[in-house]
Amino acid sequence: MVQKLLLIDKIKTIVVSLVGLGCLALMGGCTDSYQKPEVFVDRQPQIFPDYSGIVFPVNIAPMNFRIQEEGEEFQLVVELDGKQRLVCRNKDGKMCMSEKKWKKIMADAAGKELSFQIAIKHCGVWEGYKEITNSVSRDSIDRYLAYRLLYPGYELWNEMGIYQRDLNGFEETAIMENREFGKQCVNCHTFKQNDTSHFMFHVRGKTGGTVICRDGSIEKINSKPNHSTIGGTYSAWHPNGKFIAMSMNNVQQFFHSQGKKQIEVADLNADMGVYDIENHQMLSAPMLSDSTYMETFPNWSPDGRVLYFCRAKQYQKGMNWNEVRYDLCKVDFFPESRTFGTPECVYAASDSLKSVSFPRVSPDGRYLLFTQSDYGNFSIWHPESDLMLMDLKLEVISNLKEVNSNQVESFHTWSSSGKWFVFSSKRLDGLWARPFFAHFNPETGKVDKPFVLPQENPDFYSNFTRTYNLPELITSPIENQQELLEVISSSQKTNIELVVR
Amino acid sequence: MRKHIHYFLFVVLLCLFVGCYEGVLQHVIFYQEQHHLFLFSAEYFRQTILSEGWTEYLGNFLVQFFYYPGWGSLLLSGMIASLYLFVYKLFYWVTGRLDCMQISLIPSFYFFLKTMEPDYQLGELVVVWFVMLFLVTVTWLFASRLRNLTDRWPVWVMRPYVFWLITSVGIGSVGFISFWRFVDKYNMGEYRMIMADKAVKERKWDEVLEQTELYLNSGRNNQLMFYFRNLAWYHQGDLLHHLLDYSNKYGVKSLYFPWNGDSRESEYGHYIYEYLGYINEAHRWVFESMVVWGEVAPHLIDLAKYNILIDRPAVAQRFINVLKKSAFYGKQALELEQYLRERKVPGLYLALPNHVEGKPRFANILNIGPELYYLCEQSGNNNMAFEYLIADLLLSNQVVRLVQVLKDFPLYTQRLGHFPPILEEALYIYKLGVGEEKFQESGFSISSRVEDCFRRYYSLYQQKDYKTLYAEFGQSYWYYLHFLSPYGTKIITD
Repeated sequence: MVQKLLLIDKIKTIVVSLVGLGCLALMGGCTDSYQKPEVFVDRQPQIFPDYSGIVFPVNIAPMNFRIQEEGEEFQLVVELDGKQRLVCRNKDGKMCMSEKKWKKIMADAAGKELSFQIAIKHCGVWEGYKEITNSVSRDSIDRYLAYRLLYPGYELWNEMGIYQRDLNGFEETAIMENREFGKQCVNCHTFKQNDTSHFMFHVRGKTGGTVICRDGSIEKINSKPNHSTIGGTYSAWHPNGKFIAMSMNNVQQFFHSQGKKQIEVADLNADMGVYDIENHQMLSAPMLSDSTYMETFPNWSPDGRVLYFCRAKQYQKGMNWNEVRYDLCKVDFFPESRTFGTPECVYAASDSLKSVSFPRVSPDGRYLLFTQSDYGNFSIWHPESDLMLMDLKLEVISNLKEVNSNQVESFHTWSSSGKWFVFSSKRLDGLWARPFFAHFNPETGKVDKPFVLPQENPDFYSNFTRTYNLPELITSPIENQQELLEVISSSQKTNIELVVR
Repeated sequence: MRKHIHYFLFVVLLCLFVGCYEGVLQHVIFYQEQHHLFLFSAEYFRQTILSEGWTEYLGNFLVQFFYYPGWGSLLLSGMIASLYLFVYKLFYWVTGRLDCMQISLIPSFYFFLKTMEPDYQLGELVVVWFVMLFLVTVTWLFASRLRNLTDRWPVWVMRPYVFWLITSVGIGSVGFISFWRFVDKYNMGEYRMIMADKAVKERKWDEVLEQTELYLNSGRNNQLMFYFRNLAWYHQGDLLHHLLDYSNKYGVKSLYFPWNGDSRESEYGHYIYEYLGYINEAHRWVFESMVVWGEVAPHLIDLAKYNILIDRPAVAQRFINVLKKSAFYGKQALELEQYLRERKVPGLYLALPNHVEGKPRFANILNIGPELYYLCEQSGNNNMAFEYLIADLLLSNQVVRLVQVLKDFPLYTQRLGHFPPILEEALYIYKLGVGEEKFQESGFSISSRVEDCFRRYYSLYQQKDYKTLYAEFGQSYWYYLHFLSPYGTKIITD
């Protein structure tokens, strides 16, 4: 009996100690009791990220933000149709909205305006600020965003991975992480028209190669055609899923001795071809693979009949890098005969001392979005890079002032509906690229103010030191990670043949 | 006394381990602290658990206390020494007998020896410690029940002297084997290298010289130590006088690290560029190192400072924000924010202006010579660039170019004052090569002492009296050219 009591005493001691240690108070987050403001301030409060005056899709995750004003207490009221739908009040200014409540609001908000009413307590007095109004589009955005996360470094790498984020919420899952295959480099993930049934990426390292997935079957190829020293770099799936356009680039890095710009990345030479997946052949034409020009960044028209790409005069030794400028070109492709037409220039950017990169045709074939910079093609390192929109029907180019900033705007992809696009921007700090989304009206060609990918923690971007690389909207998640890993880890790969016609 | 000997041994172990970590193993504490950073954030927790696991997370938690080496040593020693107590108690509760052979000492010494390796994952120790704590706690709860069981086992009644004899033999054996393994494993070279790195970081040049001298005097040869030593001599104002103190088979690689994508070198390559004021290159090196080794305090601090100088305040702030989430670098983070507001960093300067007009210039990351020349051209005050340029040309057999550079930068040349011996020796080689008349045109002169020395050198060389030759001229430029230069024995003329 005595022993039992002793044992119970000992257990109690330990349990109480553990509970005492483990008892951390603070439920952060919000209370939902409403406080009516007593005075009004005729300006909008500063919030970060900037979710004011934007158009966002009905199926986006909660737009959590931090109120960047001084105050003792902060309150957010979300209103729809004049009714309070959500109240969030706390002392740290971090407005993290409940996903459940947000989804309920979004279910009713399509095509309407959502109001953020912010109030801040100063010296015991609640001050209400001018409301922030955002529009909720009826157009949904593709549910997932795929991207690579890595340090924005130069040559060395360590950990990196390709991830997919569910835009309906905050869940991010790994498609692959390189710690699972010897920390090899993985890059250039590309999907066929936002569809994960067809995708590919490159692996660089001991078991390197190009991994191609088509309707569940996975193959690794050596994308250096016979006798070639350079393999596939930038790729684009043909709409029929049987071809992949690839440029083969000899890329070199140069480091600025001084100034804010750290690095220049340029091609010493580049050619282009179309990889025939079934026949394991890289098809090319003399005009796409000779030494007169450098061809890169292929992209298909929706019908697969036209291949757009960027082309510059071949770099010569002694040339200044700021003289290398790419024009937007196109060439006809005939899938039945696997032949090419004659390349022609669509937009001679070099004549205006500009350079084009990343041409992307909209799903309806009407528009072409591209990045324009002062020279070169690796626009992510050019602060002056901006997004431009070409109306292929009217042959008019416009600067998308609504989305551009005084920092880099670069790599972009359309959503499957053509009513949204995602692009990389370094506007937050000049070094790390973040994915921004913008709503696009195909009928008017108008673009709305963009917004950054929402995060559960509004302070996320203030501390996150990896860059988002190649953001691509996809309609469904990739779920065959294990099979991918097996193929990546295998040293077997298929050689391909170069066919120049 | 028998029943309490384990407390006594625990204290002895604690003192012994603390003594080691404060003395011969202080480099381990420093290295660990510099290569790990624990952050109090959900994102860090998630990232570390997913990528490295609990051992890394717990290990980093422990290592953060190494910020104060004394506390770190005490904490680490306490954990390792307490393993002895845990095992001893477990043994006693489970068997009902005292561990007179002191085999409980083995786990403590095992882990102590493991921690001698600077890159040992301390998380392993932390996990074991917690597991032992758990076992001890559970066993303690059931100690009385176990006692009922063990009381029925036969007891060997030991006389005191027998007990002490067995205990002494046990302690002696474990102690002797551990000591022998310690001595066998101990890497003095590694100690010197890490302590030299520490001294470089703290800009304690006397200590750098001391550590590198002890290292090189022991007959070891290492590019990193030459690199540190040359940095230290420059800061002592005597680089060119001491450039060839030791047999330098690395050539120019004793001055800097040509970029070759080596992840280990990436940790050190930035020093020279930082002191040269060549901040873009320093930034590139540190950033690459961070990619490989992670977001640790030295990288974050350096990157914040460099980005302040390069006028990228938002980037600098990002690194400062990360630093703020650590336990002990908050004060430094606030200091950095102060520098950010003032747009300058004490102790660092920007040799090349941020604003660039015209054609961009790109760094030569394989050969520092053109970079040093460029730095000299851009400023009349970059003495380090000039001295390193001279050293670079000397070590790469470029005597002809050396003379040209001395003429290209007369103000810098004038500041050298009386030429150091190796420079005179190089000029004499130049004179022998181009002839008296052409040499006169250079405007330089050579003392008769140097000419006499060369005659003596040549005579010994012809007699093949290499022992005397080395003894008298081992630190001369002529000896370097003949016997040490990795670029051969010939002068490079273009």
